[in-house]
Amino acid sequence: MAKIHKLYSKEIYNNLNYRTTWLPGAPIDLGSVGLIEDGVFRPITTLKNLGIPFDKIIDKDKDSIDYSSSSGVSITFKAAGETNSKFKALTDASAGALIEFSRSGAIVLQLRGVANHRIADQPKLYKELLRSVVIGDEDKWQRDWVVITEVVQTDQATIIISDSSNSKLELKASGSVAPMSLVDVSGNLSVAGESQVSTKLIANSGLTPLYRGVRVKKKFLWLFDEVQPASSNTPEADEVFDDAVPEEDDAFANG
Amino acid sequence: MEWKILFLVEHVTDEIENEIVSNPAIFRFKMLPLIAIKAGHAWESSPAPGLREIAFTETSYAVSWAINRALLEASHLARTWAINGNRWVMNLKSTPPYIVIQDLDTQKIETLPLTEEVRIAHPTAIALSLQLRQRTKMTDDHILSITTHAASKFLPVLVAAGNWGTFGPGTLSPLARLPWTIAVGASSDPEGKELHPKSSFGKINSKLGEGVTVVAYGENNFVTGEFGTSFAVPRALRCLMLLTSFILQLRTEEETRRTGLLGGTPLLHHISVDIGFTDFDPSPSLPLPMIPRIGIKREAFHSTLDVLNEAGLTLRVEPSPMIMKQMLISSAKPMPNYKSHETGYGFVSTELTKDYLSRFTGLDLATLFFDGSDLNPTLSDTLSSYKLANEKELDTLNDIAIQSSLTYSIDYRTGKIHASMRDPEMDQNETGYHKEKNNYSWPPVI
Repeated sequence: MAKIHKLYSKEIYNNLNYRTTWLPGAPIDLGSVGLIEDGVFRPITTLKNLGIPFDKIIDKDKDSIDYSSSSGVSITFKAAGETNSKFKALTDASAGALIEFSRSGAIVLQLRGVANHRIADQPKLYKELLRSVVIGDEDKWQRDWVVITEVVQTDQATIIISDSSNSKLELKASGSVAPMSLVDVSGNLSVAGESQVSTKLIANSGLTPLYRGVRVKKKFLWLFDEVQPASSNTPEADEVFDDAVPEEDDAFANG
Repeated sequence: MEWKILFLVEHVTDEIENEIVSNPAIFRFKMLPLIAIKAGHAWESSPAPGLREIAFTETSYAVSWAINRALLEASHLARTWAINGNRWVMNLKSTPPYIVIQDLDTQKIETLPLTEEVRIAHPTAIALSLQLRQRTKMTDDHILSITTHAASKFLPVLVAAGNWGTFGPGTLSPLARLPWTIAVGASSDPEGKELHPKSSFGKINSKLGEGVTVVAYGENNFVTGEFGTSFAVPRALRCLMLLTSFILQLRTEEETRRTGLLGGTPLLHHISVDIGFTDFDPSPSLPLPMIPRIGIKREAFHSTLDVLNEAGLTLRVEPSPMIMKQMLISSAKPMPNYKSHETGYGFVSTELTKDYLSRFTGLDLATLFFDGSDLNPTLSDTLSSYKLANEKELDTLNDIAIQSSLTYSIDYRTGKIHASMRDPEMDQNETGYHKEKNNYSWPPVI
């Protein structure tokens, strides 16, 4: 079976079109440059260190993202005084939430105050990088490097990933009202009980759990070959670079 | 990237000699002015005296292997002597007629007894249709540095300058930066007024000849509007073909004068290392056994030889790679809107080559072969009055040289050969240039 973090990464990418950081609380910055190894971004340097300036677009609008796996996830909220036999750790007097998973790797991801920051002029960045690729400046760009071009910054984030087909997590709210969501600040949620949960971040603030990165497309890896056909024309920069999609990770890992 | 180890023979020791003699393929390499590439031999862990090891990638090894094999074939062909007949021409079973052209008056002679054997073909150049990744360090130990250097002692080595010019100075293919290669850039127009923006060029302030050597028209013959330095290389090759055939004419004339024997001028033969072709050329070259005597003014040439002899200078005309490169450079027209690191010595074309030859004097010839200090002013004046080319026949010489030329290409990714002539009785997997099967295999064993 695939590793939990790879299942998480693949499912989120397929559904939200963003790659995930791992661990989900690991910070990631715009303009960071590194490798994706076993699905995990490992920073090596930055565009700034490489002498490649860029402008940022800081997203002023804040959005929400609620994502749960289409199967294998059930979320139940309850107010204080409410009786629900499914809750084992919470008493009837407590408000809270119960998340039940019926398969391993199922995901609950709830983000609030979501801002999408990105590099402003990506075509310009591509041109700059292509020059480094073409002139073979490996100090400035290597075949498997990824540059982070978009980062999803959140005010609050709850990310839960199950570890089995019988995982459970009970969260207790500080007040008596049933929480509105798993990132309900006013609910001040805390873990009351859990079973076979792989990963949990509950209403954490200031995370950057999602990102987009760019690297050379697999079909242009010949640009790094020692011997190239003399008829090879310089491809356009936007042909060469594209989203670092998980499906091509293995091509880079295998060299 | 997987790296392999290669051993280069620098000095032939007894042990290596035995090995070479026991393996004909290696022996043939030794016959060339080439390194002997001996892969996978018994001294992998402990090189024998005279051997050293270098690192290389599989692709650069494959290209070097292809260069070596192509040169071997060229060497074999050049050392094959034809007596009034070229048995290698496809479907040619009987002695062909020998065509003599004099003053553009053609007469066909069924049999012309030759008293001197003629080499079948003279190699014009090897064109490497490939470029190396920028910043590939072409150290003395780089396998392609070694093989191209060795090849350049045998024949001119043409390379495309590269198509990265839009990225600015210093974008030449590393092969093009080697001083022993002839790096060809691409122009946007047939007159050579503008360098095509894609044509790679050297570093600013680099010396003349350190980067681009010459520029030729860079449009694809088959796709209008498509440009590249790889399309310019064949046009530079055409220039070299005319120049080489002209010098070979002089050589033949000089040999006849010296020996009293009637000789002929060998066909031209050019080689390329490329990718993407299969099989043999179904339309063989013009089936001539040799190129007829044409294109030179014999009297002026004899006068040139006479005055040189009187000055104590004995001229043996031989189209060495250095001489041919020098002639190509001399035929180039400077491109005034560009600097030397962009366009080298300038633009070359068949028309400019003919123009150069039409002005070519005994002094130009002597300057190619003798040091300037050997030529005093009086001698120089006399020599400069002898124009050696028969202008009216240069077009015909050019046409015959091109149409009778032999091509040989080898695919460095597959080892397949594409050749314009072969022995029709040969296995198509063999080249037809020699009859020793199984000495080569693809991929090469490392």
